[in-house]
Amino acid sequence: MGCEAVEASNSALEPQFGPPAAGGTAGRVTRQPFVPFSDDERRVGVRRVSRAPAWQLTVAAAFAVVMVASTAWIVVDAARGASIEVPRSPYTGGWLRSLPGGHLTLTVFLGCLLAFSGAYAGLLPLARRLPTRALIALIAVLYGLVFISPIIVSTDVFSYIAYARMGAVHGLNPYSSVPLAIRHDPIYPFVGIDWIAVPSAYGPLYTIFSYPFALLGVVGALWGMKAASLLGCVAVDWLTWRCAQRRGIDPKFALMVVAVNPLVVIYSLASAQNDFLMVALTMLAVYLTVTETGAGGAVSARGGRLHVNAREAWAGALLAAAALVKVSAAVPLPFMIVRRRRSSSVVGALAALGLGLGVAYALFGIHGVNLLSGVNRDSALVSYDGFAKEIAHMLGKPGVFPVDHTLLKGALVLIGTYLLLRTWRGYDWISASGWALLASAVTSTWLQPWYLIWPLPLAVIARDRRLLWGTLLVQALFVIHQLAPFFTP
Amino acid sequence: MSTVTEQPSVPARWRERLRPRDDDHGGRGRLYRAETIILALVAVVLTVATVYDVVHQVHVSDRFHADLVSWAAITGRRDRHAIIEQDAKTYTTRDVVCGRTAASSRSAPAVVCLIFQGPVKAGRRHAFGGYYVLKSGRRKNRVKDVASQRYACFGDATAQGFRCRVTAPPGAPDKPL
Repeated sequence: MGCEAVEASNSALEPQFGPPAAGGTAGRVTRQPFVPFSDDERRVGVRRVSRAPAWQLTVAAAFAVVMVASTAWIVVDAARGASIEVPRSPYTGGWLRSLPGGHLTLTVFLGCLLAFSGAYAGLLPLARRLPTRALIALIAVLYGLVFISPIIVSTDVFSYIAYARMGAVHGLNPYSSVPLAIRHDPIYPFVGIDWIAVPSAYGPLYTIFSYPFALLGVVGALWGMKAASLLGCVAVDWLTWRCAQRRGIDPKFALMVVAVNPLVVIYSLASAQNDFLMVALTMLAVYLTVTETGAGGAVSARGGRLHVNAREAWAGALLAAAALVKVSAAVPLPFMIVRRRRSSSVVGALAALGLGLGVAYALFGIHGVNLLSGVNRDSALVSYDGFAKEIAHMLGKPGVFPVDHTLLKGALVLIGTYLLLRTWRGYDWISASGWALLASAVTSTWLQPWYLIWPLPLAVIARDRRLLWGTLLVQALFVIHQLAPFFTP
Repeated sequence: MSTVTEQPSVPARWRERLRPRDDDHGGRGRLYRAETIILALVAVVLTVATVYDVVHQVHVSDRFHADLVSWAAITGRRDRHAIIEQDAKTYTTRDVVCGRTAASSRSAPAVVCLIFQGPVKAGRRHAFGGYYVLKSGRRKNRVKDVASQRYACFGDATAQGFRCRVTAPPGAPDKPL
């Protein structure tokens, strides 16, 4: 099938351990009849689709204007100062205060979020026929707006800076000390009240990555974190585009789904979340597997000698590195190993994990290598938006109880086991990884909007189209759940 | 003498099923349909739960708004910092709203708490009774709504299970309202 056939034939050139596998390129056959790419299309990786008629372009332009206007409204109002959706923040974007506007109220924020989401939903069906340059221009404007914006929605970025300053400036171990220990530091007033007595839950690789930012001062560190988040987001977009090309999926549609998603732009990017770095590393690993050409190095068990495929090894290493940024990124690793059945990926993952944990132990001691402690702590929390809480309310319960946490963990283990079995039996490992990440977000009692962007790039390049529908539905439900204040006096 | 045949540890049928494959053949089969049905059911449950929770939140917010309006109407005061306590033990719709009283002073800050229960009618709720609480803490800014801090219960507060001191604590205004 078009591009897929090219990949499959390349993959077959690869000597492998175990039965021959088409790796990331194999999996479910798409349910839609596939029209093969022409030679020209294959060369550029983009299907040539007739340009949209003028009325469609006009409608698309109107949707784009709605997206830009709603983002701009949020940004300008957020610059006026702290409010229910804008945490207290160091001085950034002060010049925006000269623009007309008021403090960002919940109603304005939700109205803009709803308008943005509606425009996004309207734009998606038109994505394939839009000019690529217009799409990239829209993304650039939206990202530029949220980059100059003050931090909104979450105080997480101040926690990143606080942990970095604890280590780089105050010589404290962020895995055994808490931000309360640096209460005289200028970043302390901005750390969320819920997190001042909590050690870092982030992976050691991210902590090491964040240390240089601490040396830039509070405002410099904040801009640095925003830039890192933006670059991570752009990397995710680019990798999604490239993976979609390799998998025979319209890259413009894939880019549109990921790059201008409301949870990506308004929630995650505007709050400078570090999830983009984790997802970028994951997508780079996926990209290496879907672009495998067999020229990466000798790969064989022939003659009893172990050869390592460089691309496979790097893919495994990158997934392990992503898990060292945020441990949730470990989810795709077993699916890749089970499906591709290459020892190179195991070797790469183990090498990266060994190296990362060794450095983490040297720098942070035993607390730094206990990657699951933060996950266990967060999984015991209950957020306003968790589906578990919503179902509990529907069943007449006041909330989530400890037994529910156990049940949810059990359900997640069952789902993971089933997906592993399906992957072993030939299911697309990228789809399985996306399902597992989506399931981990849905079963989490501590659901945050940026958790719902984890499966999104995988969903859009997955062979199983149900995953994309499922991910977008869950995101839509998240947005709907925010709307209660609209209907209250 | 019977013949013993060696049984494989895993039945052949299962071994065949578990055998690695190069491609997923379940795409259009019964497995795919079963998965789709289960996913659709999960989607329905999540959608219903989300909509239910939004409606639930709206009702709770309506109730809180009615509580505050009723408290202001009964006490004749508006307190932007009034506190609403939900019934976290038995999860009824009983709310307690506490706000500053007319006689509250900086040296003896007291709050009056009213107990509301029942449905919202015309934007108001019925108060069954109440009590007073003297603010505590070093800066006298903390409302510690516990039995030892409550005094002068009125209405059905005692019948509702609220325990109060009969006499006002030292420094508290006798008739805060």
